[in-house]
Amino acid sequence: MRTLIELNVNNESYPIDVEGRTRLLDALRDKCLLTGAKEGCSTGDCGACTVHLDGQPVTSCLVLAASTVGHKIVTIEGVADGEELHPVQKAFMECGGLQCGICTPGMIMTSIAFLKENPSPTRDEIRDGLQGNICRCTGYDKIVDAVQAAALELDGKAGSKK
Amino acid sequence: MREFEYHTPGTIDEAVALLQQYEANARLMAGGTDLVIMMTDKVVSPEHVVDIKGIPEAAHFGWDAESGLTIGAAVPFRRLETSPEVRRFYPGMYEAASEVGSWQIRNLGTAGGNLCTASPAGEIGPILYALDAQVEIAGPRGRQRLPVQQFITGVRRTVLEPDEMLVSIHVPPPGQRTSSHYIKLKERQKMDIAFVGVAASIELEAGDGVVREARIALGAVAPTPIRAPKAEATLRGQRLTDALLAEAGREAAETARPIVDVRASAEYRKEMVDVLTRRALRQAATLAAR
Repeated sequence: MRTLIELNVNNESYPIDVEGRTRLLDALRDKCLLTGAKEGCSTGDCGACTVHLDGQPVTSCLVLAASTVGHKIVTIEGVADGEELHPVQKAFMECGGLQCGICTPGMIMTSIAFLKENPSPTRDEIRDGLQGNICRCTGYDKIVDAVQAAALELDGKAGSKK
Repeated sequence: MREFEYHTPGTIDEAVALLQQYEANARLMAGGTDLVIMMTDKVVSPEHVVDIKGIPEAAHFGWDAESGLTIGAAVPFRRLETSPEVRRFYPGMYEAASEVGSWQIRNLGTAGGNLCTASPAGEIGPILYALDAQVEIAGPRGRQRLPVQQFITGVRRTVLEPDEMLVSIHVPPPGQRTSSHYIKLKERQKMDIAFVGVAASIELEAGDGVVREARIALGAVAPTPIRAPKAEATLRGQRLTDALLAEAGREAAETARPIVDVRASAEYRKEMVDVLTRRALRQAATLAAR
């Protein structure tokens, strides 16, 4: 049964029609036309579909779209400030924290949430924070480099605001 | 995934009424981390999905010294993992909650759902057994509370009738000099299923390190989580020496009835029950003595 719902994605309202079974991932990609979140495993294991739900990372392949009405969703499309990329996005580019790119939106979404909870992590803590995001290309080292570089950059910014 | 009608009841009574109306055609959903996968794979194809996340009683999480911990059926693991009270009073529950899936999964998946799925390798069962938890069930015939050990009846089976639901989990407040620990044995550090899970809760007498009460629960080595009563009896009233721990470990291993599968042999699982029981008891006792 199709129903009209309104999703709050990246601080914009998206009135879309969904079925009961429509997953958040499909609603974002097919209805909101936000194709940043990727479908990898469809079982919540790979993290490629990670978005923020009320500020916390979730695998959008396991969430029903209808259950997110009234909640705040942020996708990779919503993290840059206009033309200015998010510091974590920049760090992934500068450190080469990606190869094929499929896992990257999920990696970055988890990393952004992680750095909010742990602004100056060790390399082991970064690996633990990214436990739910799988990369088949990089071997992870450059991803960890990128998160560490982003931590320094974000920390510096926080410092300069004081 | 087959199409279904999605329901969002606001109260437990409304949810029960929906279950009564649709019975076997309805499935309850909390975090959805098990159900959505099962529906995607068409293992189950309910015509009605009843989402309980919006029910305040199911979303309630609270602690007080009188009644202990209340975990509503829709409370995500992440809430347990980040609760200072859980970490302080029930360290074994902190360990178990943080062993589940990934951060993303723990933001969605719930302790109540994990219990209702009743997988033999489920993470939350053993620690709830070791903490002597109770569950509250609602149905058309009213509410009832029962020990968590009576809730899980077999592989992916619980006592719930099609028109009944889990409302909340209740963990009694810890006594003095009481603590707990949980160890999950797995191949990968995260995102893996337990070969063996061992939960231990221990209460010490004042001063002398003698065990007043001990509870040991094993996961992934029988169709349901199981207690190790013989090992528990061995510990009661005794000082916790290496020899006593060795005896308790052996007895716990004898209690286990593991299967052989792609992850591990039965012999290996039994051996690991022995080792992990000793470790979990020692760690729980160290925390209890603080």
